[in-house]
Amino acid sequence: MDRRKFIQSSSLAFGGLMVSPQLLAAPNLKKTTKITILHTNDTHSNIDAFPANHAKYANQGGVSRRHELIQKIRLEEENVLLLDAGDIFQGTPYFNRFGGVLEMKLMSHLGYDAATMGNHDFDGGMDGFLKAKEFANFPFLCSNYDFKNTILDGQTKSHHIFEKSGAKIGVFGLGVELNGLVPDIHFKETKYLNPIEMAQESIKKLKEAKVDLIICLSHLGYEYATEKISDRKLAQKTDGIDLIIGGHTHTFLEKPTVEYNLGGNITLVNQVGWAGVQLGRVDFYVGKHVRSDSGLILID
Amino acid sequence: MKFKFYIFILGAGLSACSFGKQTFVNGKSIPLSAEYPNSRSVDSIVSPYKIELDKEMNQIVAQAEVDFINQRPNGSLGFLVADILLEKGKEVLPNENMICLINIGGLRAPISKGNVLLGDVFKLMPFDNQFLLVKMPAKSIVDIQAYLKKSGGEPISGFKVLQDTILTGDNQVWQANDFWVVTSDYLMNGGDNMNFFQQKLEVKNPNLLLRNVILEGFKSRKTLSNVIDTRIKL
Repeated sequence: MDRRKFIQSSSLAFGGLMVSPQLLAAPNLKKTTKITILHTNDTHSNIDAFPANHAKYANQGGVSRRHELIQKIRLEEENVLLLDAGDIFQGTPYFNRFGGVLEMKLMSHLGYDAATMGNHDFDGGMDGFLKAKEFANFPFLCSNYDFKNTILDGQTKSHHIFEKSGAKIGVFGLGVELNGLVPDIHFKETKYLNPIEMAQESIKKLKEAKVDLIICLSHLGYEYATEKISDRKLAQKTDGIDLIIGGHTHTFLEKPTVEYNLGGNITLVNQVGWAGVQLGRVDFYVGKHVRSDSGLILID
Repeated sequence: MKFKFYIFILGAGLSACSFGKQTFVNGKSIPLSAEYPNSRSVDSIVSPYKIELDKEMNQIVAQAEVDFINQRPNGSLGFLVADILLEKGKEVLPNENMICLINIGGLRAPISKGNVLLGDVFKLMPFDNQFLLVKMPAKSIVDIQAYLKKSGGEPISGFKVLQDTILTGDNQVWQANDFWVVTSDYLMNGGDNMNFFQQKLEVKNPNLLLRNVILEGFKSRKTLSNVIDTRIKL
């Protein structure tokens, strides 16, 4: 990382000496396939927009407006993936009274492509989740919860590959440790597996499938003062993830955080707070549909 | 400084400099403010649920004189709720040495100035957590003190932790006796790593939901006045 900073600053200082003119020109994005990733996290049953007298988020959010924004982007962009990083449930009386059915109906209507499970998605018990999930037309991706011996066995997938205009996008999911966060009776015999190991396993499978992009839907949390695994640590300790869409810590980021992974390449980490007051957007311009081992290049 | 990021290509791309293989990226967060219109299709899906819910949830249960929000180490929202829970605890077990300790993370939404609706109480406390009374040995107060200093503060009532000094709620010296803690089943079972609850001597479960106790407290107060107090000094 330091070396890269050195190269960056010295390149700027010495200008053309090290950089071919081609690279200093604006990237030729015409030769690429644009993939637009839209994402939410921790929407917590916030169906309606916040009221005008709300102490913190007056007149913000709301599924209805989110639908309009997403529709507008879908008209402008050919290849849109809409993803959620978990904690769909719990936070308004909609969940207390209807158990998450409306949340799932609306996410399906908005055209979500995949989601992962957050700790609060266990709040109605696994049977409650399953009942609501009947109304979801998108997969739940969980690679580090082993649901064997529970009613969720076979109900989720570790990863899924989407194809958009010939580009392949691999998405996998990671969940937070449930012990101490969720009552035992709600997750029963679910086993929590090491997120870094399961991430490496998913990355390996996705690379073998020759995907162009690897995206992780994570409910681990952005960062902690302790050694607890977080999205930033996950980015640094794995190799091959292009974007981690995070949740759990309700962290508002204006734009994705840039981390350097084990391969020395960029892994982006993004999160959009909670309650659907923001929609995250990351545009990838994928070149030639060959997975690039030279990593991501940031543009403004 | 639009071009500064392109230089990263040098880091790894020297041998494979074919431009077409590169993947470019940019990202931003888009605030969902009132400028976006509502969607008819979404509103028609929500409508039957909303009508049913509003009938119940739009009942006014109290008036808030100010905005109550979560803050560390001392927050008006946390103290308001902790005071209400402690009052209920003392009603269930009168004449006992009693405090209240809950967690800031369990209070999920602020109470805004103006009409407080039943729905706001659900948003504040969406969980179906049980209201518990937990009897603790005298020595546990030190572990609670250490926990509060480490976490940066949680909603408390009936005692104060002012750096190394522990006082009662009305600023008397804390007596080293066994004491009762009003809390939730979530925390007593080790939620938020409140491991000191393992030292418990006895638990009373009056079979009440925290949310219903808070609701009852709001209704009986009618007007929610600001709680300005220094109960925790780190």
